[in-house]
Amino acid sequence: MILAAALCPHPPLLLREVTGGADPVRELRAACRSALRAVLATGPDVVHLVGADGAPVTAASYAPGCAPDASEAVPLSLLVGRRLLAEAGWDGAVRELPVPVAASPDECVRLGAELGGRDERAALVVLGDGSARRGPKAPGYVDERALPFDAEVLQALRAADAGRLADLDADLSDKLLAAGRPAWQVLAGALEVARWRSEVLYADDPFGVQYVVATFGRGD
Amino acid sequence: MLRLGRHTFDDDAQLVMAIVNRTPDSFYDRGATYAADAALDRVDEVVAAGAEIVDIGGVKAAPGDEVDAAEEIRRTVDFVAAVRERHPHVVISVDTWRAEVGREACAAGADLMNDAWGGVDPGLAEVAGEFGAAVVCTHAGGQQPRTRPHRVAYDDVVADVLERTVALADRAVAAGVSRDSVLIDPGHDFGKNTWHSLEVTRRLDEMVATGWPVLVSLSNKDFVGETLDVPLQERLVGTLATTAVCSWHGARVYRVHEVVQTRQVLDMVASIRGTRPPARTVRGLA
Repeated sequence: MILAAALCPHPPLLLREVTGGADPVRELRAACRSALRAVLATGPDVVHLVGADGAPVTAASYAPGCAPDASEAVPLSLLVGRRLLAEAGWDGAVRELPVPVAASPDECVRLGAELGGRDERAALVVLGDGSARRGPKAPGYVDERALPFDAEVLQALRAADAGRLADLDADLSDKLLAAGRPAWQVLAGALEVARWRSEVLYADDPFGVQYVVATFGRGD
Repeated sequence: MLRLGRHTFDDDAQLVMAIVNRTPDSFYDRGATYAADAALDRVDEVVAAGAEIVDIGGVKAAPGDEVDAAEEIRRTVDFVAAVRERHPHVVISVDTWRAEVGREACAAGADLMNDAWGGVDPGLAEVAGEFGAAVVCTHAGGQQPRTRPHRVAYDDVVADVLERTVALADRAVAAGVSRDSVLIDPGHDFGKNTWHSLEVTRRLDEMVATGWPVLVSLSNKDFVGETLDVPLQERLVGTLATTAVCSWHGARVYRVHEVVQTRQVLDMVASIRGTRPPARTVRGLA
């Protein structure tokens, strides 16, 4: 069974060496650390790392010339997830689930339900971001549907409402550059099998991309 | 020899291309030369300051209000004709990705098509070939025009720059552009984050080694701002430092806002390199 879950975003900015001398996401980084520590404190035997599949990258893919990075190239979401786990002090078992970005909502929910139904004491760390089109300075410029879309996601996360997450439209998410949709829907599938309480530790868009950090603990 | 439309330059010449925006919203001048008379004043000023090339643009690079081809033509083409008449000895470049704009601009007297978005419209090079104009082949990482980089990642950004720009250069020659009228541009900040722009600067000699003349567009860009943590109006020093490094690596054309300062840097580097004698040396020599 799933003991607890954490949701974090996965911008390259969370790789500390990529941001240069200053740390422009200190608050976000701290929130991620708190979320992971809370989830790992439930004493899982294994952590499932869930995030969007993608081209394999390392920190040097984003920051050539920065501190040498000997890590293996993996999709960005997993790269950030591995780093967050390491920074939270986790050295136990990790299983990675790269979710195809084109996976349908139903497929994602099924993947999550399968994770949630396993006979093991597991924690879930889900990597997913909101829209990157939240304003004129955003990476994807403005799409007026971005703010209501992210608000809907945030409400669903606050309410730990798996059904609302599962209902998110894949096509709209893609258009809004909301990379988190498949991972959120895996989370939805995993949450379906029990009652949950959630806590949102961070929700903001300092650079035009919506980041949410949340934890989910069992409410039953 | 470098042939830019009606004009030719020696291989060791370092050329300054002054930015003249016919836009209401470009990031640095914020519409200062949107009006035709203000833009002509700007051209007079940069030509007097020694710019060999003026680069006329009708669409800001960042996302913003839609500017269709008809509006871009309205902003640029008559102005090209006016500059042609007023300054017959200046090279006229037009900053566009659209072939239909390029065609009108060439007919009005443009010498150079500055295709800053990586050749998204292959027709633009064909137009340049047809009119005997030159073309800039820029790396934009495969991004569409007027988009920002979002988590762009490269195994090796310089390898990607070399592969794409050399392929575009070959394509331009195949489309009829004269071999001595093709430049390549690493496209600082286009499809690149700050680290990527620093890397292409650090390794610009690899672009120069392709044999194609290299143009760099560095002026006051965000990679300077992020590297030095300075706002828009405080990026000149960082721009000029980058200019010096590119010049040392062998870049040939510099697209800039500040002409006088750029020229001083290029002259200084050329004198250090030994290709330009100092203006006046008496100290210790009398």
